[in-house]
Amino acid sequence: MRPWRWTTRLYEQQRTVAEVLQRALLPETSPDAPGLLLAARYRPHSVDLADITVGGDLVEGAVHGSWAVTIGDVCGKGAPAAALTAMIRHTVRAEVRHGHGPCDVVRRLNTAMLRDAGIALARFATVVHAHVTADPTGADVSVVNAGHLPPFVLRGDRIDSVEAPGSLLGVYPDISLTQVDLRLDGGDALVLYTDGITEARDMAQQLYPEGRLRDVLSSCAGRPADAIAGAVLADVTAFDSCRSHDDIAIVVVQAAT
Amino acid sequence: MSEAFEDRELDADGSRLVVSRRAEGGDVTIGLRGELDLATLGQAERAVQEAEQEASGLLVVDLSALDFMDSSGVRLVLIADDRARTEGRRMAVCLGEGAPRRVFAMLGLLDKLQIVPVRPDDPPDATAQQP
Repeated sequence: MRPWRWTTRLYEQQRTVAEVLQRALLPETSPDAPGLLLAARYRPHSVDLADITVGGDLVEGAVHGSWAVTIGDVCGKGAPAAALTAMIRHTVRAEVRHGHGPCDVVRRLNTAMLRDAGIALARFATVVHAHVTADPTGADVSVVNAGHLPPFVLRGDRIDSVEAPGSLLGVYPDISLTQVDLRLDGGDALVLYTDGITEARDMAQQLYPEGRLRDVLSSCAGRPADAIAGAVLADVTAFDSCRSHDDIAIVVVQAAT
Repeated sequence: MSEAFEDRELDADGSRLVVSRRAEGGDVTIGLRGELDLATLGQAERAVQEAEQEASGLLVVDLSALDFMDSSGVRLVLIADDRARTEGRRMAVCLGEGAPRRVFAMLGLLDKLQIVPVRPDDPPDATAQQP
């Protein structure tokens, strides 16, 4: 076989692996969650390689009607990073289904990461993990942040940052976590995102400003979760003319009106 | 007072990352200026590893003059800190008051590492505050 055919075959194999991994690491697009609207967007920095460093997940909790939402970002690139992303996803799913609360889920994830590989490889990750329970007028949310960018809550056109300080995962056995409880009224949305957004760059090499993200979210007042996630990704993609090096993930959880 | 003082830039070649090295007695400070990300990480790692061989006292990785740092910079520090603990050496990081400090604070690392302040006698370009 001619060399170019080998190259083409290798390219196709890599693309297939990347697509399979992406499907495995991303949340289902529209799980049936009564009382909630759930949406996610993902944009890999490369469609050609199995080089996935972010993940999001929406999984039904042990208690009927409760949902767990997670977004994570691992340090590193390539297959090891993708493998760690997968391990995080499956560990969180298992711990949620065992009925653990948000802090316990994240602590158990940290333990699993340390057991799997120590600091020698500096395989660390940041995660926001929230449990959401819908009711007829909104939803109660408990948020834990392990070193990740603070999520936003969109209430009408007002944007609140959810500050829940906590340690990164996979490095130290003694992590500190803070659980923040908040209320989403009908139409309010919790927005989780990765630093592929805030590290996107325009032609002038300027970083995507947090203020611009707030403006985009504010302009989404009254819109459903899917439109919010889509608007954020569209604006970052329009700004990010250089196709920055990091993956982008956005997860939106909204209380139904 | 310094017995032997050396202060020189190692990579003034137009790279997005400029590495400076300051040796004073047995202490060595590796200063990083510009952008530290996956593309420039190797350059910084080499400088830190060379300094580890040389420093008989405190090794300081100075991130305070970086304009941009992603998780690569955190990885650099965590690995160097782990090596120092394993080998019984002293290692600290200088964050300044700008973006690097905010990154390390967000990750919950300020109480995990030895943090030293920016030296008042550092050259102006090494003490510039982040936007």
